[in-house]
Amino acid sequence: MTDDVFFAPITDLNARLRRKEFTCQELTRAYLDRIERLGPRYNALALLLKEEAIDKAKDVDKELKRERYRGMLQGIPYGAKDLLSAKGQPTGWGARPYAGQVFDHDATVIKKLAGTGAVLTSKLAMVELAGGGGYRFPAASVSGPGLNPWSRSHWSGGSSSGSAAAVAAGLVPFALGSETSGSILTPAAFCGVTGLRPTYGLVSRYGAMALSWTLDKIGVLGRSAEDCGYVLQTIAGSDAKDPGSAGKSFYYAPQFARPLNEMTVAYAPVDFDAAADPSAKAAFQTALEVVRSLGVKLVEAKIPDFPYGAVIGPVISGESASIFEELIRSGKVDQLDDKKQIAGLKASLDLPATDYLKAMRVRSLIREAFGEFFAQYDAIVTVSRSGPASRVSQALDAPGGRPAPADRGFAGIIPAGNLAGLPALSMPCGFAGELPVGLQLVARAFNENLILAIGKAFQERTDWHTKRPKI
Amino acid sequence: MLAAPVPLLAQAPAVEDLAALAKSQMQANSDRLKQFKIEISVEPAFAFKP
Repeated sequence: MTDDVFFAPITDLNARLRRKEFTCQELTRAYLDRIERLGPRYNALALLLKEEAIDKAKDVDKELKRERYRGMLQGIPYGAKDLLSAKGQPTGWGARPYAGQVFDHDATVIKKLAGTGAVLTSKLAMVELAGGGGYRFPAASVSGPGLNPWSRSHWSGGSSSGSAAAVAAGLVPFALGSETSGSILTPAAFCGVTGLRPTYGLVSRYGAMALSWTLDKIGVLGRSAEDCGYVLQTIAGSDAKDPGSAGKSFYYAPQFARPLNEMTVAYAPVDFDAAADPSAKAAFQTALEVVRSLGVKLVEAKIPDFPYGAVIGPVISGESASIFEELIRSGKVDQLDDKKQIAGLKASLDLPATDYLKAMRVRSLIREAFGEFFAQYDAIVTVSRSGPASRVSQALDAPGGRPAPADRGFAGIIPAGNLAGLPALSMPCGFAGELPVGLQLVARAFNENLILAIGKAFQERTDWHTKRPKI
Repeated sequence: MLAAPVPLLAQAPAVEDLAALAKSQMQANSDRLKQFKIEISVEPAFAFKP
């Protein structure tokens, strides 16, 4: 099997399985060998599921032999962030106190993917407890720091570190990740893959570690907007086991999205200029011109004015303090790898209820403001992060070397989009030196097809998403 | 689920007391929220569904 297979889109792998160019067993074994060999190189692998994957692949081959087709993901190997439970398998949440933890049920998303014939090959490494206490170093994980396939001296991003690195290095065709505030978009941008954060409530979190009940979302890291669309179609849907479920399903249908030349897309010039890292500016500006060339109407706009950081902080602190209260009070929290995270979780027990509720009340206003914002615009285009990944040894709370411009543009869009529960897509859009950078699209709730349609058009005109790191 | 802020340059200064740092960050958020005036009728962004 050639290297091309490891970087092929899902549509291509599916077609080749149906044409019997290779069996699902052959494909799965090839991916298993590759992730077993290369996963540790990036600290991306939490658990290899070799026997289970081969058994599943055998079942898929029997179905394909009978021409019983289940959809685009049938026979496609994948990995899942290690905060998603797989029945009978260790699910450690990236954290030493939970090493060896085993659940007796599959997460709903794992169950849905199994039902469509996707093959779970691996649990993927993550920042401990998804970083809820606020971590200081990339090494905040039982698996060690997530290493970037484009440069192992740089971070892969977090907290879905292994999911992004594994897709970037061709260890899985796609992976599941999760986001509370940036944990899909950031590693997607840093590793040069496509990341989709769905609308809050569209994908069930049953069987996933909770960090913040009102913010957590399960999403996708993949090779393209199209691949993410097919995966979202499978994992989305109502689930009575998740109280946050919106009761909606999703069908990937970019062909039914409004024509691009009828779309109004908001942007802030400063995001692509003064606010951008100098090494990334050229890539961002070229990407913006590509978006313009798609025919959308680009209109200068500003993000609704709220103190997003001061709002999302108490929401995460308050909810994570309750979720991990036993861990904190028992003292087991001291087993975590990152001292700042330990201190953050301990401090969160003292958060006044009034602060949490004030934040949640301001959040109501944020939701309203974005409702009004998206009455004027169909989408926002901005950068995923203002620059490339930092060095793996560098503290993440180090002060920036450049003063932030007075015009903040859409700088707060990651906490803002998460507080408002909005869907977002990060796509590779070029390089800053040897490291990839990403472009971000955001839309109103449940408008995934709109950003996927813009993303697909962007990726038809660019080839950044097909670039491969030297392994 | 939570992405850390990413620095642009330079190493972080040594943090002597991470607990104090965490508390001061919480206090800063609290102070910022106190400055944000909202009408008494605004309810939190979650709803109890019986």
